[in-house]
Amino acid sequence: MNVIVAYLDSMFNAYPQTPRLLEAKAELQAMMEDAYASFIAQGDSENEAVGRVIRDFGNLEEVAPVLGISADLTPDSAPAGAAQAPAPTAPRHPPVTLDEAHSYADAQERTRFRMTAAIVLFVLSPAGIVSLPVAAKSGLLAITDEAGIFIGIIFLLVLAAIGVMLLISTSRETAPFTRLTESHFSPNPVVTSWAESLAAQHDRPRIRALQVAIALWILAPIPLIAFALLLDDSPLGDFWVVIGVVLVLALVATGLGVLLPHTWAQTVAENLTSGSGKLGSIADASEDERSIVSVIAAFYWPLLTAVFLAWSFIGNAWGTSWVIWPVGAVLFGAIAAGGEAVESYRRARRHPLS
Amino acid sequence: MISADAIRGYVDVLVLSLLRTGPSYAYELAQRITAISGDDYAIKQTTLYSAVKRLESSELVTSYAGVSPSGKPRTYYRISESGLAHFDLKVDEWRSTKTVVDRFINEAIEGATP
Repeated sequence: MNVIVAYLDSMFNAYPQTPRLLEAKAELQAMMEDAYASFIAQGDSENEAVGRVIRDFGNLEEVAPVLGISADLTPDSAPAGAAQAPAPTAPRHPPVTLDEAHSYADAQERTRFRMTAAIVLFVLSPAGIVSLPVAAKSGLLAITDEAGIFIGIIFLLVLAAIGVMLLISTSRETAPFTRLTESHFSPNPVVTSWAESLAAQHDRPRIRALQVAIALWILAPIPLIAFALLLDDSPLGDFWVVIGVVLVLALVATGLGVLLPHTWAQTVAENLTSGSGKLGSIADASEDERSIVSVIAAFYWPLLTAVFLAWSFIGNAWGTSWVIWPVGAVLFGAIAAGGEAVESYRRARRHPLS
Repeated sequence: MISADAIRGYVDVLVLSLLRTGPSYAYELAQRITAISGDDYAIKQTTLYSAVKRLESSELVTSYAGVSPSGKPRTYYRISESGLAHFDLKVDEWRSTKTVVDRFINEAIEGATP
């Protein structure tokens, strides 16, 4: 229901709020609310009902003559400025249509598990090459170091190949919508309202998934640190450290696996609301994103350095402690992605649906 | 499905015909138009609203504030005397329009068949 009010606000706000205009807005709102209630009574979901109501709205130009706002609605005859928003300087692209937005959202929803699986496989792919040579050296596997490396490389290449194949199959389905993902369209208030309601509807599971994922990412290095500190004297100490590294990868991958299937609606909303006329807000977004990631970086890297030094000195493990850097870098990439997601959530909170 | 352009001149007649049976409000009018038209025509809310306001400004309908059964304030519309007269006029106009257009169409079809 809030989406309907927001939609009408966005349609009417550009014009002088005369009594006649406010009356029209109130009556159209009453009509839309009645229509919404009857769609809900017919068994539509909230999202479907909002979509149908907005589709049946028509267009404001039709009401313009009875409201006396026709001059404002036809930019060609109107004096420049007035109530009209300043014309965007960027080349105008055709507006996104509701059907196009529906198909784009369907494609995103359909491909979300494949996309997630591909990214999880990429993160897991180094596990073999990290662990097998050490397992072989410790005598846990009856193969030579070289065979371990070889199998590890095969494992990496196979996982990467499956991941690439999955990405290619998803990109085939999302390819028709590159104009939407690259912002080569003008925003359309109907689509914007619909996309925002879609994102709002899927926001709760997404936030829950984000919380789980961030918890996993923060906990990811604990087994590694524990094995390094506690099992350093054991004959299989090196092997346990490597198992710790594999666990870091596994936990990071699990976090991504939990989070990514829930982000599609948010992605759809972000892409559909940022048309060619909204370059400013994109710049703001990247600035915000930089800020939260830089805050994380400010304590992350010193902490990692402290862990590295502690491990190396206490465990006298200068030969193996270097692994903390590649692992730390991968983990930081994941945290930065999480930071971006948090930031987009905060942005959504700052601009709530009235 | 009839296009909005094709029916544009007759939305007022649809509204007047519904109001002849008694006062009504915008959403109910839209509902009844859509129900009677079946799948042939779905009226947009802005189309209906502008038709009603146009009729009101030419004093063919009058409006009064009412309250819905659930207690929501609602604007009701009632057809006026001149509205009834205008409806009859438009019905005659439609009948003769239809006859003339049919005459052309029938002639074209008969002319095409040997």
